[in-house]
Amino acid sequence: MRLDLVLEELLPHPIEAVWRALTEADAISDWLMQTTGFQPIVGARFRLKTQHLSASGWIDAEVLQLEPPWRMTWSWSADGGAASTVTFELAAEGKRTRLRLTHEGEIEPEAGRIVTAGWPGRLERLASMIGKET
Amino acid sequence: MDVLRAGEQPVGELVTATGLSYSLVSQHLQVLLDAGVVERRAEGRRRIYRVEAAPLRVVHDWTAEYEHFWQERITRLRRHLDP
Repeated sequence: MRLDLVLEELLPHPIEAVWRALTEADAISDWLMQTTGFQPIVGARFRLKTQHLSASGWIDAEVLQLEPPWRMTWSWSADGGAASTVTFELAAEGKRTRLRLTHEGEIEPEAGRIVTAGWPGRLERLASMIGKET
Repeated sequence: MDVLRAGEQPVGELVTATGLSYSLVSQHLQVLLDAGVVERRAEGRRRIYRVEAAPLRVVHDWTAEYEHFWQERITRLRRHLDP
């Protein structure tokens, strides 16, 4: 399934502070998801721990673009499925910062792995997989 | 429906399996056909029924799930920035 999601928020913080929150591993672990291996370097591969967004419990990601303090793009893949991209764009508005978050691309986790991981209580996903097999 | 879930069946098999009368089984099947729950095909003079999977298909709404996810995380980002 294709995702095309854009969210915009005006944060009452200077752009440098917001950029730090987006690009320091400890900060990402605090507000986004527990991360292992994140480094603010293009090509850095890292993982994000998740309860609901993948069957394995992890999102595999990679820093694709980094333009401090304006723009950062990650690849984002659940369970070895197709990769989507997450882009954080910042714009200073006085002492405030406009954050634009774009998440686009294919986000369907590989259906078979949801079964093997025994994702509990997800009847609709099961129904969706049954539908695809027939 | 349980009998049909195990695989497609001719009407006669459904009558035997359910112990219901032929006309009652036919009535039930007509209701299920109209609702799109079962499909029918002809094999010679026999009518074979099977479960139509499509009505069971529910596409998971990932867009809503991710939108909710990111909105909640941005709220956490605000809290992180402003402890």
